[in-house]
Amino acid sequence: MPDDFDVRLRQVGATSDRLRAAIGAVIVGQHDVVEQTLWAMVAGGHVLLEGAPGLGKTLLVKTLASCLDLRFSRIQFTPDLMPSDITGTNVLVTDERGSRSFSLHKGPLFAQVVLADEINRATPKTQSALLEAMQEHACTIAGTRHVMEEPFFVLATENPIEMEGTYPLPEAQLDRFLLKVVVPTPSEDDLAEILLRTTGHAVAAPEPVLAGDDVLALRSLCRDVAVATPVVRYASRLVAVSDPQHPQAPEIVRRTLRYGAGVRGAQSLVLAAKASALLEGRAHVAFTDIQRVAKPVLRHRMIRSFEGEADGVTTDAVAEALVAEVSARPAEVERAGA
Amino acid sequence: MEMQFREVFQRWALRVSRRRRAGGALAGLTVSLLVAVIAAAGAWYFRIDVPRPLGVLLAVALVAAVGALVGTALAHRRRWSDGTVALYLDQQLASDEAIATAIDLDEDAAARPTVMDRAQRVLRQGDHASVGPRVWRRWHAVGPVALGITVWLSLLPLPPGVAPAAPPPGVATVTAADVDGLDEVIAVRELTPADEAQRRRLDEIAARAERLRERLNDGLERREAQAEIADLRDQLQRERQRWASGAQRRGLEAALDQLGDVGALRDAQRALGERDLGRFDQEMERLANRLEDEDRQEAKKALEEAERAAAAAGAPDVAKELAAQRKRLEEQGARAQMMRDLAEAFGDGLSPEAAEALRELQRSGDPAASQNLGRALADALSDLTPEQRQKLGDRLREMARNLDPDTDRSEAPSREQLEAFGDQLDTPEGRQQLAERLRELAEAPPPSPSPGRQRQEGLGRAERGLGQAQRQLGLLPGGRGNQPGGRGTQPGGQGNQPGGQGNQPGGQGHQPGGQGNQPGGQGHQPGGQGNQPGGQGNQPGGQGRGGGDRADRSGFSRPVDGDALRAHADARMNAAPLDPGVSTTRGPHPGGRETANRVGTGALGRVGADEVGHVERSEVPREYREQVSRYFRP
Repeated sequence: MPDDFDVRLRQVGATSDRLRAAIGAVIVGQHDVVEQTLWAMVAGGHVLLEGAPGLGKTLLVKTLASCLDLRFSRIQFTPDLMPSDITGTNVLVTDERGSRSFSLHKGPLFAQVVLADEINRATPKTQSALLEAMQEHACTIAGTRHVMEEPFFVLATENPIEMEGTYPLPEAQLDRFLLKVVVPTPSEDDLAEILLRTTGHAVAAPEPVLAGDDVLALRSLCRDVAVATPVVRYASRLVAVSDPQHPQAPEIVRRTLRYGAGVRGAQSLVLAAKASALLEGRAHVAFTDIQRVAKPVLRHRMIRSFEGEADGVTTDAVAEALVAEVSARPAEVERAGA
Repeated sequence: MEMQFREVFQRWALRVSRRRRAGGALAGLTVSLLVAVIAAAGAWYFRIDVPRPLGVLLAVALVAAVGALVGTALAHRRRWSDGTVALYLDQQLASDEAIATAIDLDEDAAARPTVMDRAQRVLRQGDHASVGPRVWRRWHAVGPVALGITVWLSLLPLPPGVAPAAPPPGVATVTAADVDGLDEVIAVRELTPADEAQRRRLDEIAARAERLRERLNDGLERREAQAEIADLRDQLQRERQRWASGAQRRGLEAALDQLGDVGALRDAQRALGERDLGRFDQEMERLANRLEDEDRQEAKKALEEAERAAAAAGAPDVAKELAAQRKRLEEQGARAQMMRDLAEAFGDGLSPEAAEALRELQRSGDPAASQNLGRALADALSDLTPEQRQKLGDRLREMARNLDPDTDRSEAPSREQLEAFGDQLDTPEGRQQLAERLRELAEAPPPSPSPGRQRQEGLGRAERGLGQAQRQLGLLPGGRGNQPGGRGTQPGGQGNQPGGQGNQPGGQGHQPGGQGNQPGGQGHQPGGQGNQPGGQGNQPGGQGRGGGDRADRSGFSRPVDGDALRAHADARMNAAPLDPGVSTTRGPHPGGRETANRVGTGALGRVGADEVGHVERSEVPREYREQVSRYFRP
């Protein structure tokens, strides 16, 4: 007799299938990007989308927002964008009786799905305005703390090509993003499909698949996904050895990294793995889930050293090396299974 | 559900545990077999005495059993926890860690039922036959191979033992049973010494021989025995050569000068010059038998003069020896003269045998001829005719009348006896008495040898005894059949034996050539002839005539091919003191060859051959110089 968790798990499977189908109706290809974005949504984290202009980052976010019956806002980050432009500000208003008072005029941050487009074009001061909202799902304006309406979900994009006039995100802010999703250039087939879809009449936005409560239920279910101790230890080992000072750190880590991932990285690893398992219809996390989410979780949390930058070693390569070199199972089990 | 899962999981865990223990046992077995084959190979190589093959196989079986037990125990000690087993099963069953999660999950976890259900399904669907730790691994194949090698080693005969290193030459122990001839050395104590000093020396020699025999009784290294015997022999040689040496030399030379004036005494003079008193005595006996009365008187006179000259020159030993020989000449001569006179008295009644014996006596003076003559005369008595008996009686009476009453005739018949024989010759009893008297004369022993001769002969016997001992110890060729220079059956027989000791009585140089078929000496070299001065000890024994030929005994040596000669003087030198300028002995070479083990130190110096007195001035050994001087004396 199926229990409640099992029923909900099956519902998640059906819902995620519908969600993928809805997004897939708009977004051509980019399955990994869509999947990783869904992980973040289910896990309750935020996503930093990095890719060249015109790869559909903004469209993906807008499509996702359309699929979710949530309030969506888009913030185009520019160098002159002020924090109050995001968070909002108190404005002096005069009521009917002529008395004047300050009234909060909420900014675009007060939405459920926020698209921070080209986030690296704003100054760090403006970028920092997102920190509290992303971490605590609340925003303090003029001494008053305003809680965001759940589910709150930030998707930021940045352009890695145009570095002129940009402000790289500080590490503290990068750490707030659950995943950093790299949007690849579409394949030839996908590009052809994109051309066919976008050069004709505009396609209607997809119908909402999930309501806000559904998303919250998903996130709750994600937290219930079971994780065995060996899997957790594997995740912690992966993060620990990403520290170049760790005695068991791989040689590539020692050579190319200045800082490794931290505690938040480990948390993100397990959460993302739970989301991955959930979206695959499993009630438990496997080693493969950890390995699968390792790259998008860790790539923006590892700071390269001068030597690593000089050698052109990417954090993706380091994450792959970590997954390859750190054994998931005990050595005796590996030997017995060999 | 949880119970069901636990039940299923425990079955799997038990199976995994069993297979791991089996793998451990197999690994232990393999390692132990590997150790066993190494041990078996070591035991085989080092020839360790183990009953084969059963003992080896039992030992290997024991080691294998222990190894399997140890492997099982180690596997049990390192058994997996449930979590590890779950991880292994997750890996093998590709269950995405469902089993590990189900094992590890808290009871109040929301996902617990779902995870357990998944894990249970995975376990139930899993194939028991294909999942489980590997028991047999590739390296386990070493086990059967090692076992096969061990069985093969157990059946393989042990390798031959390493032969112990050959002992150094000469370290073999010899005992008194291996050495003869020491009795003759000990017997020198019984000899009559010339003086008290010689008494002490002879006693010392005898005592040394006794000590050596005692050490030999306890066992002595061959090389030590060889050295001691060689030293003893040197001492004996010195003792033999001590007679008439030193201060008495001049007396000896003065006596030799006197003897040299009489031609009949030439051989006796030579023997005396060589201090060979035995041969001197023999020569004098022959002379006594051979010389007629007039010649005997002349020789007697020469002996008297030589005796006086020796005494005057301070050689009492020489004078004493000459006096003894003079007396011997007198006695023996009178008896021999009596035999000759009796033979002549037979006249035409002399039998052919008696005539031949008479001729031989007159020619050689051999005592045996005198004996033959006496027996022949006794036999001839019975065949005489009455006329011949008459004539014989007359001549006997005449002989009795002519006898000098002052002459000591020793065992010869007296005047009265001769007259009685002449008168009673016609009667059978008278003839019988005469025949018996003639036989007594024939059988009468010769006069006792001089004390000097007895002493020299005793020392010579002792030295020959030591020579025999040296041959037995392999120091001299000819001792043992398997020694180089053996008894003629070995290559290089006695031909290269040093030519003997020229100053030994009778010499040793008359050794017959061996029968060996090897070139290089068959003993045809006479070496010292006994009457040769100084010996030829450092001379090789001459050339053989080639394979299979019998040696030439004529004393002739063919020309030596100088280019083909090779010296083999690389043997270990004997530690005994050296005689200047003389190589006296030869010994075996470790390589089977033969080489001198004594090296002379004398040198001929730088004297021109045409210089006056070059022989005296040259640095040759004294004895050799004297011999050369006499040889070239006009």
